Amino acid sequence: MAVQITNYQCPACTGPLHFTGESGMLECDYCSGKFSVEEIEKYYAAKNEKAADNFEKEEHIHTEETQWDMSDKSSQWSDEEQTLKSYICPSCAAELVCDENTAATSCPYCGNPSVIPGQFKGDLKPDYVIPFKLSHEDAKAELKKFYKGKKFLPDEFATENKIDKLQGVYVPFWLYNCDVQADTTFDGVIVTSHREGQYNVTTTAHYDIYRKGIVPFENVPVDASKNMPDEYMDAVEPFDYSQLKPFSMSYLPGYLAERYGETAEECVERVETRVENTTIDIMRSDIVGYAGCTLKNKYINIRRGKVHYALLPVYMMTTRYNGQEYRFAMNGQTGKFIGNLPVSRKKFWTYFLGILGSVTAVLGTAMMLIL
Amino acid sequence: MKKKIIRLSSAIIAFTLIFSVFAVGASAQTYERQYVYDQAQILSYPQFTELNTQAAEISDEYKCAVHIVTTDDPSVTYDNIQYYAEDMYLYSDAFGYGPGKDGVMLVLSVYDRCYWLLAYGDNGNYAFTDYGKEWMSGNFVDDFSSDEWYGGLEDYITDCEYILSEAAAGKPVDIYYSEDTGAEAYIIAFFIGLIVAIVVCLVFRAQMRTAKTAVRAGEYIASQGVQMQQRHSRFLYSTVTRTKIQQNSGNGGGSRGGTTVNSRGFSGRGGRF
Repeated sequence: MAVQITNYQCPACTGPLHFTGESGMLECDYCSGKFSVEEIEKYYAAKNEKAADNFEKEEHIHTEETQWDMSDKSSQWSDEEQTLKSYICPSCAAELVCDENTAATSCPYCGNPSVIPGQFKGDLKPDYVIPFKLSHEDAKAELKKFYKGKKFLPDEFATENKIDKLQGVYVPFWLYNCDVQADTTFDGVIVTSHREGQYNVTTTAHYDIYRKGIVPFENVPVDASKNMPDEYMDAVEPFDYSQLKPFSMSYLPGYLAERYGETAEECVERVETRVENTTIDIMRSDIVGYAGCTLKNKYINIRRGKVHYALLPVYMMTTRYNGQEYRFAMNGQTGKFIGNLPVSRKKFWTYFLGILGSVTAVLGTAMMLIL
Repeated sequence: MKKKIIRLSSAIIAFTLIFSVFAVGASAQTYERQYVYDQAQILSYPQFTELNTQAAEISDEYKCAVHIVTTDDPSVTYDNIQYYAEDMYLYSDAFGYGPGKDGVMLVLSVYDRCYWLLAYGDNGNYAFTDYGKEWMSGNFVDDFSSDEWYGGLEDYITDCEYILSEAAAGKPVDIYYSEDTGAEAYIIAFFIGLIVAIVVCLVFRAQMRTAKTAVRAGEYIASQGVQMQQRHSRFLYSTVTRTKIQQNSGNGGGSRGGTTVNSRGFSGRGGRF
């Protein structure tokens, strides 16, 4: 089955448009025309609406046209196949097969960026978007910087490895607002010491310390994508929310985009763990003047507030080394770069033995001279 | 003024000592000189004789006098025992060996429970290094703490003989960068190096893995900030522990090898027991 999707084309020359973070505008690949998000929104509002409304109809017509003998086809779809959808590229009429949550992509045949309006209809429409600020080139440069200073990185990894994939992705995030009411009791100790004749007398006084307070949290992000690894999306935080903008599909051309794959209810445990831990830390940090402080009891009440749905910009990169894939992520707004790198065993042991040998030699000689 | 008083008192003490030579009677006549002066009378006569005999033999063998002086004089305290001992040694002919007055002397104040161990003369200061005196003190102080006077003094005499014999062999008891000491230093340094290497490598290793699940949300606290509603604390109970302070006799002496000699020509160390 195939569905219709929308190409954002240049109103001047019908060439493909893509959003450029640097200029904050949609730019034409052919005539170099630049258009503001508002201009393109207005231009395409009617077109997108029509494309979304015709979603079912177009599908039906297309299905009728393809009456093939399916008797030899295997009857069951695998789980993976069932989560795929196909679309028709409006530029070259090729059939694009995408994940069911894909909302913006580019055609592998003609390269034109395409947006699937139906994915952001009704409840699926994001409230906000943070547009990409940094370009693909910035991401490549940051990857090189990321390699620097990594003592255990194999030399060949930095010199020989090539970026397999580099893609800017608007990742769906839930932004949670809540107030956390905490009633906490800690066991605190104050230690004093004085001398009595031939004895040192140490007195340890134990206290019951009570702290009650409210900690308000605003827009705590949790990624709602099923495809993105949670630890990568957590690690690229924080985003600068002052640049949150009301959602418009005009920001999407040129990048991949997904609609959410996990609901706000499904992600709530992750956010609640984070706000609870932070609240306890704050209650503990309010206690001063004690030598030690241990949490005894806690009563945490989370007053759940509004949840917003936002698309946040992340560059995802994959490289290959020794037959293994390495994935990196960069915050498309702030440039924060994260990822897991391979460790060179040779370098690890060189450093380990080098430090061990140096410290032993220097410290051993110094100790001999001092003692 | 204080020094004058002390020196005056030492003169009196010296007189007392000379008098005590005759008081000892037969035993004193057996030897040309007396080495043990038990004014506090903490030794029995056989103990006194035994120690004096041993001290005399060692002194003659190594040409370095080994002396013991005990006192119960209340005026001899921890604060002045060094001057008391030095004045007595310096101004009395009863102490030291030969024209250089080489010797070692242990003065015990039974009243204030303190001691001073001094060495004098080129041979005395050569043999009894700072470390050597520290080592000797460690051997006898425990006995004195439990009023084992004879046991402590016997340890002192034995240690003096050992130290003098080592000095005579050209290797005074001191801190040496011996193979044992070197090996110990390098073993300790190795374990410290091992910990440093593990910590540094773990830090470098952590730099290679930066994708981590977030467990805090401190960056997202709203601008109105935290509202603390109640703060109070209540005393529950207290526990008291008493730890005996280690006796520290860190008066005099060093730990870098050799002998520290003061302007009067003495080296020494003292402490309480």
